[in-house]
Formats: sequence, structure tokens, C-alpha cells
Amino acid sequence: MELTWTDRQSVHGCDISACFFDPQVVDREDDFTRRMLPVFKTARPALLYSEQDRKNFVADPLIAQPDAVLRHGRGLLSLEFKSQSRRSHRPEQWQRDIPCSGVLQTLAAAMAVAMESGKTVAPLLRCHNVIYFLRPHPELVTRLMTGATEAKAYWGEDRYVSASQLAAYCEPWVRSRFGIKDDAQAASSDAGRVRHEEMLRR
Amino acid sequence: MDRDFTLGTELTEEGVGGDRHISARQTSAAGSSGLNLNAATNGGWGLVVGALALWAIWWLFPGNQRQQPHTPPRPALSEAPAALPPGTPKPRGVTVELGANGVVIKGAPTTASTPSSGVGKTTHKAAPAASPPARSRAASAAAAAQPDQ
Repeated sequence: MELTWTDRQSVHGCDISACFFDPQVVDREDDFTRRMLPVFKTARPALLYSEQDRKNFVADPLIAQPDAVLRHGRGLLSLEFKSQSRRSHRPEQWQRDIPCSGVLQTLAAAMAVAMESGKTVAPLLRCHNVIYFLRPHPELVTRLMTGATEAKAYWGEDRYVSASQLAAYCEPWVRSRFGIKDDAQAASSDAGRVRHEEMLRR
Repeated sequence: MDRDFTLGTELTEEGVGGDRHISARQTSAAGSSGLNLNAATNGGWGLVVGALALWAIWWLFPGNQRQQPHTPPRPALSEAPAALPPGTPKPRGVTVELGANGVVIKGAPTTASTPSSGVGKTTHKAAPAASPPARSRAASAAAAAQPDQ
């Protein structure tokens, strides 16, 4: 049975499905899946690891600790949770609210889980009032793969580079390569260029 | 990272479906890797020709190292060893010296290969396997610096 998603857009190098919900209701659920994965109506994926287990997934040199790993059918779910101080994302502008670093960290962690487990892994990012399913562009996966060794050197780590470190390292590239530029930004950019030329005139 | 892996592109109530199969292999001892690099197995002639081409470009268009006679004399230095705090790893190929006329940076790469300085402000969550408590320390640091974790 298909899941019901609110929206689907390309953001930060990913094809992302978003499912919005009422956090006032969902956060009070006792069941882990109902609380953390409200997109599921009937399925109850089995929780394998949560943050308390401090389970490391290693794909040398990448190391990751997803907030939760669940078994779902023949695959796994790799879940990251970013509450962002309980800030809600706007259903009409969630592309601007979804944290780029969170997206990349979620992907990096899912890659580590997939490599260590050998199973198909779905990357999920749960925020205060929305859960996202991330399908990365191949170019983004390539960047994260090749960036792991670079990020390890960049952060001066001896053995491993964490998913969050890799995300921070790759974020500028992702913003440059896949950044959103709408009419408002274009107008602002044009105004800045005009002002720049005005001030630097000779 | 030298294993194949698959990320799911379909998610239903029944399970995870994936058609994004990624084959990641180390291609050199230096640690560079790539995706589905089948062309890397097509023999060594391409590598030889490529290496010769790179050498020719390097020879025809020399870099900064071969133009040293044009560099001005070094400024007087003071307290150069104290420019970096103790324990700071020295970047390879780049030297930063605090001179009387300012900070002198030598050997800076000609192409940008690292992100902007703002990246360093990000805190890190995951910890090496050998030290699980590091995650809690990182989390504490994250909570102090970035309360919206």
C-alpha cells in the first residue's frame, strides 16, 4: 500500500517526499513508530537500534550513529531526528525550512548503515512537524562518497569522519550545486549588483 | 568505503524498495573512490597517456614553484612559531607566518579544495567506535553551541 505524502520536490540534491502532521498529537504517542514515523498508517517497522544504544555503523572512513534504525520488510529505515527547537516547517515553503546539513547527515548515516548491513536502506529525516523521505541524486552520493576521505583530512581526524562532519564539509558544495534561487533571491541579487556598481563607480 | 550498497527509492507500508544501487570501490592507495568506475579496468594505456598529458601541461604552464626568482624578499618575522597555538596540526604545503607587515601565507593551493571557514562552527555528533561516550560529549557541545539539535 502506498504511503500518503503531502508534497514532493527536489531540494539539496535530493528528490524529497514530505509528510506533514500535527506535532501536538503525534508527539504524545507512546508507540515509537506512531511517534517518530507518522507517515505509516498500518505498518509497524521493528526498532533495531535507537540513540541510547550508541550503535556505530562504519563504512571506513565514515562512521555514523543514526538516531534510529528499523527493519521494514526486507530493508531498513535509517532515521535522523532534528527538532530545531520545535520549529515547524511551512507546508508551502518547506524547501526553505529543511536543514541542508540535516539532509546530508541523514544521507551519510544511511549510506553507512547500507554498507555495513548489506540491506536496502531508506533515509528518513524527522523534523518537528514533518517527516521527509530522501532519494539522493547520484551526483550527490558520489560527492559524499569521495568527500569522506577529504573530510577526514579536513577535520584532522585520525581514524574516522562522522556523518555530521561529512555533512558540514559537503554542505557548501551542495548549496552551490543544488541551491534554490527563486524570484525574490534573483531580485535581491540584481539589486545588490546595481548598488555595487553605484558605490564603486569611478 | 569499498562495498556496494543500495539506498531505497520506494517506500510503502510493506517495505523498502530500492533501485539506486551504488557500487563504491577504492581506486587508489591514496583513498580516492568513485562510483561504478568500470573504465578504470580498461588497461593502463589510458593512464600512461593521461600521465604524459598532465606532465606536458605542467611543463608548459609552470606553477608558482618555478617562478620563485620573481618573489620579493621575505619580510622580517617576529614570533613566527607562536602564530599557531600548541597542538594545532600544520596544514600540508601551506605555511602561515606572522611578519612585521602582516600575515604571510605561502603555498596556498591555486584551486579551492576546502569549504569556507564557517563550516568549522558545525558540531559533530557521531563518535569513533572505540569511545562511545564521545557522542554524549559531542551532544553536550552541540547543546551548548546549537540548542536546536
